[in-house]
Amino acid sequence: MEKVERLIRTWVATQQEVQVTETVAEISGGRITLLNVVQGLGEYLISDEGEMRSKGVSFLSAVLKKSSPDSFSRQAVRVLMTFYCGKLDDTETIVPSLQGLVTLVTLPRFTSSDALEVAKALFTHVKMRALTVHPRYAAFSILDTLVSNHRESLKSMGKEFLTGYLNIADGEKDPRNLFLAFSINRVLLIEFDISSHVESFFDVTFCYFPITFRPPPDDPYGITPEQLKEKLLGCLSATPAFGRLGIDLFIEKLTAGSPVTKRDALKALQVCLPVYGSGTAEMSSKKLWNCLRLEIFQPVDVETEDSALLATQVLVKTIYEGQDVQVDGVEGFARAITQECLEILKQPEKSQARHAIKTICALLSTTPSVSRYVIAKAIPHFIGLFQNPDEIANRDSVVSHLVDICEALRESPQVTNGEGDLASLKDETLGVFVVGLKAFSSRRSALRGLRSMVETQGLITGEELSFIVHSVNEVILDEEDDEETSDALVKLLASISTASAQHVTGGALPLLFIALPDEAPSRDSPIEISKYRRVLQLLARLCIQPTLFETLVIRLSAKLDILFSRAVDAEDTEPIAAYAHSLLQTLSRVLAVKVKENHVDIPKYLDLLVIPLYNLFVLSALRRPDGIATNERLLVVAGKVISFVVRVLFTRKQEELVNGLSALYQGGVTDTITTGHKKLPADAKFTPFKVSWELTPSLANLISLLAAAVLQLRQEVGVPPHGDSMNEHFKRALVWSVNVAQNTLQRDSMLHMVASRVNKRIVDLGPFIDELLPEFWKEYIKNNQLPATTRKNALTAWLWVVKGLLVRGDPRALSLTENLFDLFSDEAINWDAASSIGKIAAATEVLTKTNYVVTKFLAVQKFTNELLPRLMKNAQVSSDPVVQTAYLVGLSSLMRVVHKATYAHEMPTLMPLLLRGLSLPDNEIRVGVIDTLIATTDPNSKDNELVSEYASSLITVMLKNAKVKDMVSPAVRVSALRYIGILPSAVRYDILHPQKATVIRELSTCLDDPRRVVRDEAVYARTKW
Amino acid sequence: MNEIYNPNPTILKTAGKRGTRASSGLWDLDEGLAGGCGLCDDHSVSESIDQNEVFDLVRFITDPEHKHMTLEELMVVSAPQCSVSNETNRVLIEFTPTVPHCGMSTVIGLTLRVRLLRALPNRFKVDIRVKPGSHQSENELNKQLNDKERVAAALENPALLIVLEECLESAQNRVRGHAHQ
Amino acid sequence: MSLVSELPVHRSASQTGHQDRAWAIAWNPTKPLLASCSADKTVRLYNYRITPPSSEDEPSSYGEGLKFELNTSIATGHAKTVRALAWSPSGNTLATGSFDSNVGIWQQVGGEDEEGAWECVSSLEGHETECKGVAYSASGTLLASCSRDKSVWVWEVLPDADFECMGVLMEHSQDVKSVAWHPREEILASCSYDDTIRIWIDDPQDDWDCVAILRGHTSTVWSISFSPDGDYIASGSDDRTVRIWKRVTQYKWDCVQVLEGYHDRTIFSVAWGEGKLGSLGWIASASSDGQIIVYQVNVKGGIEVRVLTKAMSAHDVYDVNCIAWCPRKGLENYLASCGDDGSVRVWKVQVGK
Repeated sequence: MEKVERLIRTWVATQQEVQVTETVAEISGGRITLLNVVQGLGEYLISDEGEMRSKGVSFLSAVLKKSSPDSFSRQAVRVLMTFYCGKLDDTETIVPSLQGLVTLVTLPRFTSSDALEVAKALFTHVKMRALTVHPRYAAFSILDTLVSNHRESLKSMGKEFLTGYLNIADGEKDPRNLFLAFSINRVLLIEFDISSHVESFFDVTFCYFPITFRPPPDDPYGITPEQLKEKLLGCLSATPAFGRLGIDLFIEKLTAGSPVTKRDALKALQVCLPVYGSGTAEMSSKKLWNCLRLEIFQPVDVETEDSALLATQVLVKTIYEGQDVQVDGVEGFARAITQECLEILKQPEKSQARHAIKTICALLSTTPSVSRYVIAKAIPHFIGLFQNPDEIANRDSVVSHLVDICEALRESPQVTNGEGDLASLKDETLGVFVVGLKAFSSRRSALRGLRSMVETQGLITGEELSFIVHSVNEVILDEEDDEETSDALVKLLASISTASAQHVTGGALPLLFIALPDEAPSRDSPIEISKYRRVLQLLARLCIQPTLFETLVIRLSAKLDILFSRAVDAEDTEPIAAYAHSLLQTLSRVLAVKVKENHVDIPKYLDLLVIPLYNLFVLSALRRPDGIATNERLLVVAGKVISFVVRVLFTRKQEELVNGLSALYQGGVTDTITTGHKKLPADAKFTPFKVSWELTPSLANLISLLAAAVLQLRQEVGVPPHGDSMNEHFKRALVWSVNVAQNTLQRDSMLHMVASRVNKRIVDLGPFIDELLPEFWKEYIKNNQLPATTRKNALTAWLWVVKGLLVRGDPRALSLTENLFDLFSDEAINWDAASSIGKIAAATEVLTKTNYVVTKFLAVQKFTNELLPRLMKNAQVSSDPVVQTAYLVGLSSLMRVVHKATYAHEMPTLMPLLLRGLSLPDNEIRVGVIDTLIATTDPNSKDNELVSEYASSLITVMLKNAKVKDMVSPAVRVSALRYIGILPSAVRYDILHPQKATVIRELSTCLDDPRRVVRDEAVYARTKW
Repeated sequence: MNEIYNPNPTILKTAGKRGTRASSGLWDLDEGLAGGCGLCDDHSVSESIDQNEVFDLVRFITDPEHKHMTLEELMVVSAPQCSVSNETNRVLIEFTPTVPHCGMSTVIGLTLRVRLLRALPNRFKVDIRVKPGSHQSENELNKQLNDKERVAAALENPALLIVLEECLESAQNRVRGHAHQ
Repeated sequence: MSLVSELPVHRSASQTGHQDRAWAIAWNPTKPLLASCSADKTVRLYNYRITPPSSEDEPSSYGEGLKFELNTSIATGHAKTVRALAWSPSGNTLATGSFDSNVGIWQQVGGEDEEGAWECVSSLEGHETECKGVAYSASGTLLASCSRDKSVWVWEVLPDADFECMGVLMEHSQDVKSVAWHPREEILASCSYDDTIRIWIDDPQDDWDCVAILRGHTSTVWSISFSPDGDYIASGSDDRTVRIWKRVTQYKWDCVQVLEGYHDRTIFSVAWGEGKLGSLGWIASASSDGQIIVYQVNVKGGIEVRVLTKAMSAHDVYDVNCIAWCPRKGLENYLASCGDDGSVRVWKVQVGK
């Protein structure tokens, strides 16, 4: 006993946790009882000093809190309860008592009768206004616990409890407390009989609407306005009893409030109306609509407008829920607004019509009967307008409104039957759209309409489909159509062909194919050209499913054959090449889609498309080396087609192909590859690698087709020559690219193959990398006897090998790159050497996973992290200015290709360097630098300290790069202007202000740039300033 | 601005396409789309400012009375209503007020002026007029819109300036969109 | 005509310079001073000195020339564009008219010497909207100002920079664009957006009366200028013509000449100077089309006008807003101009060649 007293004494003196825990231990150890504690507190509890009394009770509550719930006997609970209740009327002890009660009421042995007493005590003694936030919170938590644990007995208190609670809850402001109050509220509203207190409950809940509180930055309870709104909404929508009053309040907020308040009110309506019930809803429907109409027809913003439409929907649903009547049975509200809207829609071309139709569409997804009513009224309304000769001018508007309805119906769930569903008006609607097709003005809408009908489940019959296709065919080749219209056209045909492909194959496709000429239109007939282009665009979008694609391949291959043979002895081959190019591009575009969607039918096009293509090109190239078969653009797109197919082939197929190909390209046996119908003549000598200047140089362009296949080979697939000669072969390849290749196409094709092979077959290539490559470096790159161009080409060849290594994370990539630094003082090629660093790190389509390349995660980033610091350092400190600049070039080339995260932290050091980079006489570097700067300047924060610091010099140099008289490259001008354009949003105004006049004046000269893209940027930038 | 001059104007459905059509050369190449802002870095090329470009500058200005609708949608301006001469350095826009008594026409005219003032090279002399017969007080309007002293004074009126900026905002952003498509 | 000197451009970034369009210029009648005002709310003063022939200071290759330098730039404190300028005949006072609707009166405090700073000694408030023109009468005892509020105000100049309103002339039906005084008599002319020119005199019985309305221009009349002998008025208009009006009786002016087809955009300014040749001196006209044209005027029975010289795009691609002849003896063939580019330029009309 005296131990307890000691503990209490020390605690009262020190208020330390220890004594509390000790006491708790004593109790749980059974050495003392709570009652002892109470007794022990005796002297304090009766002390005249308020502080003493309050400390006494606090101690008890603290102990209570710490003790395990079961350690309290029924009796103990009872004693404590009476004890605390007794202390509630003492202003000194009320606070700790509440704390105590918070724990007490949760105890298992706390009975319902206790609950009643506590409640009573609270109501009689607790004056919330007299208390601070925390004790108020305690009071609410107590009530919360009581309500959730002892609901029934509290109900028995009836009026007394409700009034009591209302007093407590009245006037609360603290969000955390409200959070609790609201949840209690909801329970009472739902479970208690509040019929006699509706008004008062209305007052203590609706007075908080709309919630406007914003949480303080350091809100410990992290209550968001949203959560609070949710809670409150829970109360507002708790009982139909609120109906009349609630709606009136919402209306008031809706008419008076700010946009935010408006949206809150609308949201509340959507939640509450269904609860308030159809009776109330109907009674207030007029008043409500008067407000909603305003929000819909003169919207402050889209969000509010949509919300208002939603509210209208809910309102109608609530009123008509469960009513299932015939069309003309629909009375009252829905009828009224439908008629109102249709009245407005008598002028379909006016702006108000937009809102009216939205309302109509909203009504369509309410209740079946309303929806039926609206359909039965609206659709005929538009059909009538459409047929009215005076309205011809407005047909587009009419049609597009009708489309809106069809689309709304397509979305809306219920499919009804009989009078007043779309089906019953199908023919008329279809009729409108089909006629709408004929006029250009309404065509796009009509196409949309037909599409939504086709896409509506079980609406359109096969017969009708073919009718639609038939009518579409009549306009399909109309040149005056713009992109949007053809787009709508394709979308329609696409959804038709998903509905049933044969309608398209049988109907639309033949027409399109026939529209494709056999002869290429001459260069002076642009109409013809844009016509075949349009047809091909349509085809490309249509022929994606296997059956359709096969037809496409067959038809287009046939065209290609004709074109190529025509080209052999044509005067002007370019138009033919261009046409062929469009054909091939169509194929590659479709294949791209098919690959993305993993269609399974692609492999079969090895024999149907790829091999024939090789035949076609090789054969025609032999016939006429300067013909279209060696045209670079043509080869590039043909290469795309080939690679799409080869990519998906299995290993064995790939091996067959590549063996055949290498044989073919070595001028050897050609049969393996020429399984196609057009056999190469036996005597044909196709030796593209043996380039001798006087005769047929450009045959070597066809190497790009070989590369197209090789790049797609799987890792396990080898390419001849195999064995040791392979390494030699690779070096020869490099040398070939330097000495023999005549153009970038040839060079790149070769180097891409090398890079890809090096990456995939590194195991077989040890000698090449470790011996031959260094050799090559010495002979061709280091060797300053050679002309610079040769050395530059050699550098390019070399860096592709390194790229191949880098991607797969081979350590030699870095060690090889080291070599580049030796060249930094060699003015003949030091800039090329420097920018090679960036080129090595740069991502490339040649070396991607999709091409079965071996890649190592973060390999490139490791590489950059190695080099960046070094480049930065030397770009600043290097003694020799030539070398220093080279480092700067290297730096910017590298920064351009890596993610800003890798160097962001270095920006302070980098900024001055970058600025220097902007004066280097190399446009590519400048674009690179500016892009880097753009990447590292956050346009949404005004405190980019670094940028602010350099603002004036940045502006000066950017302006210089933006003006055509100082900078020839449009690309640089565009980037520079872009940068100037983001400055105002990235730097505080007061910093920029001194520059403003200058910038505006200088930019005005950019407004007169010869290139439009530049002008567009200038306009933007200038207006931003 | 309290009085609404035209609460329910007629609107143009197929609005929003760029004035310029996709160029149709011999070749149909993807590079255009790929190259970001679509410039092959050929320094020689020169495209002079034309009707469509001027139209693109003004089409997305919003109507002071219907802030959610553009002058194009309201058929106040269209490409043919913008004429440009690079020889004489003249630009003429003839706009059509939504209704012949539209009291907002002055503001609309001003927005057009300000936009071109900011977006066209100084060499251009700009004239803004209402389409003949489209406004009951056509001459007063034209005289006012082309009196540079009055325009200058108007642009020193803060209240008016706010209205103008609001109308011009979307013009700026939408054109931006184009610059990058 | 040759460009003698381009004064420090208003638009130049130099902090002392105007950053915006220059609206008007005025030569000081007694001192080597030229003043200009601009939309950037400042007034700039330039000194000039006559340079001996063939001095390297002289940009134009021969004859004496003028060398200009910036004297000072006054931040007027007008809330808006400073639109108009006028020197008092004494040359000691400068009046400014601003879009903020006030007229500012400026004097050099602390003596005439260079050091004396120019300060606003008085601000005349009366106009309801933008003030667009100011002018001192020949005697210097009267100051006229005009405004978009359709009114012309006549102020009496009292000692100690004090002013008293003598009359508010409210007969124009539209903006009054500019005002000009007769070189000797107290006759005031005003021109307006209502396409007319009005002539006013101080009626001894009651206050100022409109004694004549000059009709003929078919659009806004922007600028008017009396001939040195006071018998003629030249006017420039938005109708792209310059009209010359002859005083036929005491208070009656008739249009005797229409100079048409010279300018193809609005004429913003006309100035009639002594010139070096011709019985009636020289008229200069400046326009939005960028031209400045100088006409020589002779009387041979009727009045005879011929183009003496012109400067195409005198301010590059920009409008020319105002021109003024140098009033000082011996320098009658110097012409100053300012434009939307914010620059002020001075031209010398070569004679005897």
